[in-house]
Amino acid sequence: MIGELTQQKEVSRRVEGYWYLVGKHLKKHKLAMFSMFLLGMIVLLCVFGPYFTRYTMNEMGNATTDVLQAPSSRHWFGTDELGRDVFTRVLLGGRISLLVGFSSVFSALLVGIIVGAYAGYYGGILDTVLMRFTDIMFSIPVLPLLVVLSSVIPGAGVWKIVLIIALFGWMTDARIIRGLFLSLRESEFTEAARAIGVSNTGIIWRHLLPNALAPIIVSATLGVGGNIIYEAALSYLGFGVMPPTPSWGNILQNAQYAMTIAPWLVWTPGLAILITAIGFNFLGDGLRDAMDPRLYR
Amino acid sequence: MKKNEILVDVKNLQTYFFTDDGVVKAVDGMDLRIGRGEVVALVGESGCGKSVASLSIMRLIDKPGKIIGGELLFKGEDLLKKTEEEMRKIRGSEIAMIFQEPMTSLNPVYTIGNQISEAITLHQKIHATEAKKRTIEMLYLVGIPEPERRFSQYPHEMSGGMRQRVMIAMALSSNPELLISDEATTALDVTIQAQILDLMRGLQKKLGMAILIITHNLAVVAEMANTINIAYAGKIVESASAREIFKSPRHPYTYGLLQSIPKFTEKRTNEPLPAIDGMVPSPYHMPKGCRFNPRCPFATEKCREEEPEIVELTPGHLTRCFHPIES
Amino acid sequence: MATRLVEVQNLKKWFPIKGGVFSTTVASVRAVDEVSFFIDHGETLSLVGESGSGKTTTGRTILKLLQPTGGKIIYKGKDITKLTPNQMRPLRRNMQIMFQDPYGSLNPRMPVGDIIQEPLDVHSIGTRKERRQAVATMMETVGLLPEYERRYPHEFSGGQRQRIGVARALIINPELLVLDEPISALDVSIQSQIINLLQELQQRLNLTYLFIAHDLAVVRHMSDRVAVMYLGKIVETADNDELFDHPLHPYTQALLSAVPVPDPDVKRERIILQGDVPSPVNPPSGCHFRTRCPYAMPICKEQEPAMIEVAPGHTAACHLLTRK
Repeated sequence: MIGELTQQKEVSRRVEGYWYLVGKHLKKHKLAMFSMFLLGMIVLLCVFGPYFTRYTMNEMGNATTDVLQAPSSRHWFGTDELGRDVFTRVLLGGRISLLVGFSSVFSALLVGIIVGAYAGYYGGILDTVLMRFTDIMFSIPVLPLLVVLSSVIPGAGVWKIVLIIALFGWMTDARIIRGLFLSLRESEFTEAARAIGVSNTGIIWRHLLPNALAPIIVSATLGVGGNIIYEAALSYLGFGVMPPTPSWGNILQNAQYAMTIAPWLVWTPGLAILITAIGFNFLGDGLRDAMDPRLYR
Repeated sequence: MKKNEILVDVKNLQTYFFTDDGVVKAVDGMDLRIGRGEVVALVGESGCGKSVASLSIMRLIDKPGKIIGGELLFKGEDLLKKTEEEMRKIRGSEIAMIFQEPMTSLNPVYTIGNQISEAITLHQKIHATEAKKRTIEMLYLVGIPEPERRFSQYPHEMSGGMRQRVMIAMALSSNPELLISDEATTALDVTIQAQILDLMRGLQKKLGMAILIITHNLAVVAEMANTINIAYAGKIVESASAREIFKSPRHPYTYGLLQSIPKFTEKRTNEPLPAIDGMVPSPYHMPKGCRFNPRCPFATEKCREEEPEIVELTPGHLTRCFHPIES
Repeated sequence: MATRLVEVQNLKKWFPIKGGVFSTTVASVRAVDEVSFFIDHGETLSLVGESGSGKTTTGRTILKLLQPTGGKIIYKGKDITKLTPNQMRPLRRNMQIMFQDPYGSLNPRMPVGDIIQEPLDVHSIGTRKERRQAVATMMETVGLLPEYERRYPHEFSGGQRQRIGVARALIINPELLVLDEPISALDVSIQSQIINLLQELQQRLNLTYLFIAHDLAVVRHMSDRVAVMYLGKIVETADNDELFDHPLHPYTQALLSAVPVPDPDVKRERIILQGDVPSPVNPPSGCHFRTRCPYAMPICKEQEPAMIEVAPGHTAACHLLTRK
């Protein structure tokens, strides 16, 4: 009897891992796929584009002829008040904005995961303390505080902005992760792991976290879009990335006065922000559907 | 059975599900007959199509499922030809259904009395007070103690067994001719199950309705059913009187199933159970030929190539097999 | 006693219900309410009961997956009741559990090979190569093709997942295996396959089983001894044949009579119990079963019946028996 191998269920040729299934479901979401493609293009453009443009970031053209030119074949996005090529500046600005977006999300996520996982898994006093702290952070109005912090903390680096945005971005993730961990820790495979003798740390990082990936990834994707807008807002208000380093926000800031006479200075970075943020939103939505827990079965 | 004694006559029912991963032929040519006042069982394991069949009879199949073929004759009329409006008049009044999980079939925010009364007034033109009276009668009929008090209770205040009684009360409130019980006792404890089965038997004798019992538990239907249909992978593989099924099963699957169940009434031996090899086939990859052939100890080349048709071996005993077991 | 693998004395597991402004304990769910039994080396003891009986909680508590509220658990002569999780860890090599739910008990994000290997990793048994070999051997032993070890649980059927579960439990060679309704969630035709597998594994690997179930036909087939539980208490314990042929406790009698049998000729004398199972938060005073017992007497309300040995190996707790 034993060793007599029973008939196998029809297992498909390829290892149907989780990511394979996610990819399969995601492909059906046309909007998400398109967004992914679009965002990929934008990232590529921003990262590599500036090496190929004719102009550099600060190259100022002739003071009379090249200033405030409308978009043309020579300057695809026109020029600004200093004769600089807007297209190049927007691409470079994109580098910064995307960098800020991604790294702030990543850092916020790291904090959020640690807080949420340990609060949700251990419960009790740790949970209460961590969650009250999270609540306090939540009730602080973000933008005004970002402005205040930005002006108070010395330095003008991009990393300062990343830090500040991350400081206020981890709470939602923490709550989501905590909720997930609260339910996951009751699942039978967690009990099975305990029965084997797996330590708490092992359970949190090897067993529960991989199962909590879905909302983390969705939150991260949506977060990038949101944080890019935060950065733009900060920079626009003059508290974010400082010139001459371009970012979409501070390009906008410079362009305020020029709205009527040189509208391209406003809508080029504006559109860039809009498209990128919407793109991440659609992608995030698509991922959320594709990573539905029904994939467990 | 005389013509006017046949209540339900399902002929060649085909219900397919059109999913992204392929077509699932959940019910693939099922025939079923229920006479007036008869208790008929539809027995099978997961994937056999029994629940889909009952939902098909009630025309409760939704996308991606579709009834693509067959006839569903109820009192001589084809239900497949009826409009949704007409079906709604039939559901709950002429054909009623009870399910496995009463907690999910009952609305948690309304009292049970309210829900039963609603079911009554939906199909009968009577006053609210009259409906309430009838509701309390029904609660009493299904053996719920203190029915007047229970009328105002909520589902969560009652136990599983009680809730199932409430479901039965609701189902029987309009005196249906057919009651479909879809795994109604599966989630109940053994002693509660015994209570409910006892109740159903009593009510059946009293009210004379036909019952279609859908279950995976052969033992449960041994005492209740007149006719038993065994389903496998979307088809009926054997159909006979309860006695015949248990005493002389002709299809290898039925036979194998009965052999493999541990015998409660026999002393323990140390012999392994004669189990059926293999697994229920995946609905996306049905085997060629007879659907049971990969697991059948008597399968021949013919079984692997051709699909057997249903054949009447002795009067009233039908089997779908090229080599039925000798009785 | 040298042959006793596990001895449980007056085990209690109460779950507090918190309420009020300060979250004090207002009541308790008395899931396991002073339960005593033992399990001999190599035998199969079944714990049967319906929902609310406490059998599942008992199984978990013996393995210290839940902390006992009271009583003693003695494993191979050693009192493990008060051991901390860290102290329990090395003991976990000896006592394992197999779960009911083939869909929830396996981590959906781990390949099954890793799932089966994990106990070896946790207890640092063997080299990496040896562990991989052990996994392959174990998979074959339980009837799975070893080349599927990179697959994920959702690619397998219910019966196959239970095989994975048992492989995981047995790969570190435990002595005791608690089986928590291992076949209830499976199709009927698969149940017998798994029953056969479990019995053969027990023979081959010299295992002791605590079999928790509600299906009495399966229990009759598999057990050496049976303990019947009701509302947190054991009401009767006896050898297999003895229990099924001569049930003494009214609950056992009702339970056995309620089991449906696949034979239309067998006319059953059904003892239909009235009413529902009372809440374990507020069990009836005296004998917990008295509210549904057809033979309840006044004393049943006042005094809890003691467990007495009516015949060798056959114990039951009922006032009817003490009258004799």
